[in-house]
Amino acid sequence: MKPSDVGHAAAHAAAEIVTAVPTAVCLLCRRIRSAVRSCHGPDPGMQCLPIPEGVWLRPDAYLYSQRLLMGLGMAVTWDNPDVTLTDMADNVVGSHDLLPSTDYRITAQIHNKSPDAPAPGLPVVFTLLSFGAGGPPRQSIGSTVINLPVRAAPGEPAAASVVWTTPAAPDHYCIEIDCSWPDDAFPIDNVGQHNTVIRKASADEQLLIEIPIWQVRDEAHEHLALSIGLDGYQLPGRPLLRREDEAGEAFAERIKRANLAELHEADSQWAPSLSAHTVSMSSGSTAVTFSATVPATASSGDRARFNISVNDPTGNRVVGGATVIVQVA
Amino acid sequence: MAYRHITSCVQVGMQQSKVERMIAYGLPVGAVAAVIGAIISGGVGAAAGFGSTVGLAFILGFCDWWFHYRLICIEDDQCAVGTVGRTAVSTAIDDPDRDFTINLVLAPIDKSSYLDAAAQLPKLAVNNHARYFTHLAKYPDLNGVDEITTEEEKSTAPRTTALHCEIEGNGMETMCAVTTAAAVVGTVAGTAAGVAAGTAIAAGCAASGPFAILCLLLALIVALIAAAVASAVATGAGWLLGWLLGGDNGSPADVAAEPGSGTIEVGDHIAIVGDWIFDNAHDGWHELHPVKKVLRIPCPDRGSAPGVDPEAPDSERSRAAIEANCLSYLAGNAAQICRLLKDGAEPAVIVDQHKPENNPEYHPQLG
Repeated sequence: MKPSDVGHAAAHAAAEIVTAVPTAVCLLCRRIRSAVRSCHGPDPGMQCLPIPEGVWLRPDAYLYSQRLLMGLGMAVTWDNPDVTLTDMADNVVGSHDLLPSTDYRITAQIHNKSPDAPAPGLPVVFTLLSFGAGGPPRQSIGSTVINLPVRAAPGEPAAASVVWTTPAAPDHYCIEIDCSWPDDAFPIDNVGQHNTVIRKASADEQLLIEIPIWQVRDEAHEHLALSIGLDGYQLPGRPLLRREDEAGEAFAERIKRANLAELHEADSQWAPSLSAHTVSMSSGSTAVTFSATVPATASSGDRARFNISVNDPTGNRVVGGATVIVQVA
Repeated sequence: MAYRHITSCVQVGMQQSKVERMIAYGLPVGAVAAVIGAIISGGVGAAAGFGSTVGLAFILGFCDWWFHYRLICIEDDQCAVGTVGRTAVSTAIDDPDRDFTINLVLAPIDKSSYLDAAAQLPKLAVNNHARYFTHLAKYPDLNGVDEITTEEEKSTAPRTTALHCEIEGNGMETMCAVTTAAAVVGTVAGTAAGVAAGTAIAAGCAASGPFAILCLLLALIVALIAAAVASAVATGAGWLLGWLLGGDNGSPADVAAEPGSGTIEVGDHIAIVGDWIFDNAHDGWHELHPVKKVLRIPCPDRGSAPGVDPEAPDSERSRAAIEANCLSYLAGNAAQICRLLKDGAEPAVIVDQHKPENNPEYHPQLG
């Protein structure tokens, strides 16, 4: 290194030090001012105090949420495994065949993913939606409050129950359950639906079921091309378990692959079909017709499940759906 | 990041004062420095060496007291439910620990009730909260219980007594590290200054005839004082530097940027879990320190609260009814809320949480 380089570096360093001095003096003055203020003046405190990660608890309440699972590209059932409908004698009934002006008990199992944050006083709201995919709210069924323990603690999942008197006019029903906590760690899976149609039929009989499709969210009255899927998806007999040393992402990917709609085609022996696989609409409702024919070889007690799920592929939005369960009489 | 826990508490009866800890450090450190000083420079060196450890003894004793002899254990992992009455972060030069303070008005007390501890006790008897304002046998008196309120300490404004809860900061850790380093430098510099001052006086003592012994004594005293002053100056400078460096690590801005952090405001309803201790640094009050868990508790449906005017749900009367209903709910359910909060620390629950079947990614029936 030449002596001139050394001199240049020294001059540069000196300049850096000189320019840093005012900053250091300002910092010192600020700290001293702050100290003097806190010694002699009132301490105003802080209106809003941040609480560190690890101290701040955030529950993660959830139930089987079609919105989350369809959003991840997975097939879903609208026969929600976390929702049970019973009559007042505790017999399980389907949401399709409720009698008018009759009391039923709706029970939802609410889970918690958080290992350390419970949700005491978690409100669970039950709402009656118009039947079909994306039906608007028709009536508030009721709400209840539960104490949701942390994951795997006694009492988790916690059951939320309300008694509901069905409307006087007979109809199909779709029930939405919302367990929103104000500071939920993952609020997307706080809402689930239970929307089933159960029909009895005999061998060789053809069934036609109209599934309304609602479009109530498009304030701009824009025509949307909604996609309607049909599959025979059922919940797996046994859940997948995380393998030892399996990363969370790899486990999630394995679950997604096992639950893709294309792996669960509707049983072709029942000749299931939809009257349309897309509909274009702006607002209001339209309907598609689901048809299936019970195989001639079917015997009494046989069952088949068909899920009709509607989404808005351009907006990447889940609209809704219904599960049709056909029982051979 | 889990909660920070720099301090430890001692069993009742084992607590010590700052001065006791300073003496505990001062005597051995001073003796070692005196011996080294004596070897280097005789009697004057011994006096200077002993005097130069003033700063080091002060800071070692103070920090040891602050971290390990100040807090008296009562019971770990205790819980309180109530309303946030005051929040603050301590950054002053005389209290630079950067602890986050939450003064919690215990349910069912209204934070605007301006009740002191004695007046609150009958109402707090409905749950386990009265113990936080109750003197415990063998423990020091709770002389300062009414200093922790919805207002700043020593304030004379109308105020409601609250439970002091602290999330530990690392300001004092930084302060102690920097000041201790400065005190070590001060010990060396003080010894040198003391030896120089004492030697200068001692050099003239031979000429003082019958007063030579007094002169030598004066030289020792000057050596000791000069060393002590130099040590104190260096330690003080270190304290100032430590306070300036006080650390942005753990500052409110840093904490707010953490992805899993949250915020609370005065008036929020929360549950807190922390170690129940008696803080011996003050006039006497109980604390939850350190705070380990904070959970915001939503109030029951506002519209259904008795006393709410449906025509004017935002009126002062309706708001008061909503708050009263919420405080009543919190007080009545405090035990249940606290039990739920403890579940996450139960060994059996933690074991179960690690089982694959209890660790679903999406749903227990999917995996």
